[in-house]
This record gives sequence, C-alpha cells and structure tokens, in this order.
Amino acid sequence: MSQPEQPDSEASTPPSASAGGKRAEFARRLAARQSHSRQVARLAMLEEHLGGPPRPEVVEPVRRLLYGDAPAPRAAG
Amino acid sequence: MPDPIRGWVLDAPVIAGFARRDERAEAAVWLAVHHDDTLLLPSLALSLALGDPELDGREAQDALAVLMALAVVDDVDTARAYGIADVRARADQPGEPATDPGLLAVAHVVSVAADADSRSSPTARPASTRWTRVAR
Repeated sequence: MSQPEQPDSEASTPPSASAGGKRAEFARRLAARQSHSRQVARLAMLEEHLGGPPRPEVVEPVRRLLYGDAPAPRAAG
Repeated sequence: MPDPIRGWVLDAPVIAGFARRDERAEAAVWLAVHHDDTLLLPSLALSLALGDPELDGREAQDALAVLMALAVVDDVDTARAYGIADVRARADQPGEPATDPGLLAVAHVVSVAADADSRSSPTARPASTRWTRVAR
C-alpha cells in the first residue's frame, strides 16, 4: 500500500499568494537597488563639490562622534 | 506605521559651516551620505544660516545648493507650526523664541527631531548638540 502523496510546499501555497510573495520580493530587491543607485549618485555629487572625500584625519573624530564604534566607511574612489 | 527615518537633522551652525567649507561640517555630511542616511533640513534653520553675512559669496551659495540637493527640506506647514508651538510651550521661557529668530529655528529643529524620534526604532541614539540622530 502506497503512502498518500504529500503536497509540496509550492503546491500548498495558493497561486495568488505565491505570485504576491514573488512580487513583494521583486519590489524589495528593486527598492534596494534603487536605494543603492541613489546613494552612489548623492555621494558622487557631494564629492564633486568637495573635490573628493574629506581627509581621514578630519573624518575619524566626526565619525566617532556621530557613529560611535561603527566601522569607518570605505572612501569612494 | 511609517518606516523609521534613519538620518540626521541639520541645525543652522552645521548648515552655515557646510556653506563656509568647514571641514568638520563637510565630513559630517559626507559620512551621512556614505551611510545613506537622510539629511533633514528645517527651513527655519536654513533661513537663519542664510542670514549669515559670510554666506553671500558665490562659493557659499553653490555649497548650499549642493546641500539642498542632498537633503529633504522640512517646510513650516500647518502641522509643523503646531509642532514648533508645542516645543515653545515646553521651553523654560516659552515667550522667548517669539522674539529671537535663532531660538525659533532651534524650536523647528527640535520639532523635526521629535517627529522623527517618534517614528524611530527603540535603538535610536540620544541627540547630540548640533546633530540629532533621529533613528538608527
């Protein structure tokens, strides 16, 4: 006697919920990509104005004040 | 519930410092942009900074244009007017900001920071003097 076939997780998910989940994931990834692009564009605009990243000896004390022990961001370039 | 804002509220000394090419103000803005943090620019603080006679030159105006392109300007609409009034009401001398534009600008900064704090995560850091961490 064979075991009744167990439905897999994909099949147990209503088609509309699965499609909704995929759309949500796509929207999340798209938002993350757009956010990264915006960040790069903002940084490029700022560094063009500044003539490059600020000097590390200026950045470090400000970083400690504002961000505590967070790792220093990598200089763009 | 709106997403928490991660960023900083700029007050008049930081705005004016950036316009004057003060390296620390520039480094602070650069760090915020590098962390993809939001920069909030209360319009009254901007107005106060614009009153600085040292910011008349072309270079300072160009710097302010860059800062405004990077930041979100918080205008004084009806809701903000009530928020500023609320900050003034809680001040030690509530009538003082009415005659001191500097204190009115500070009340605007505090009101913006308080709004952002109310939407922030529980791990928000305490405010510093010139820069207010509004969420993390």
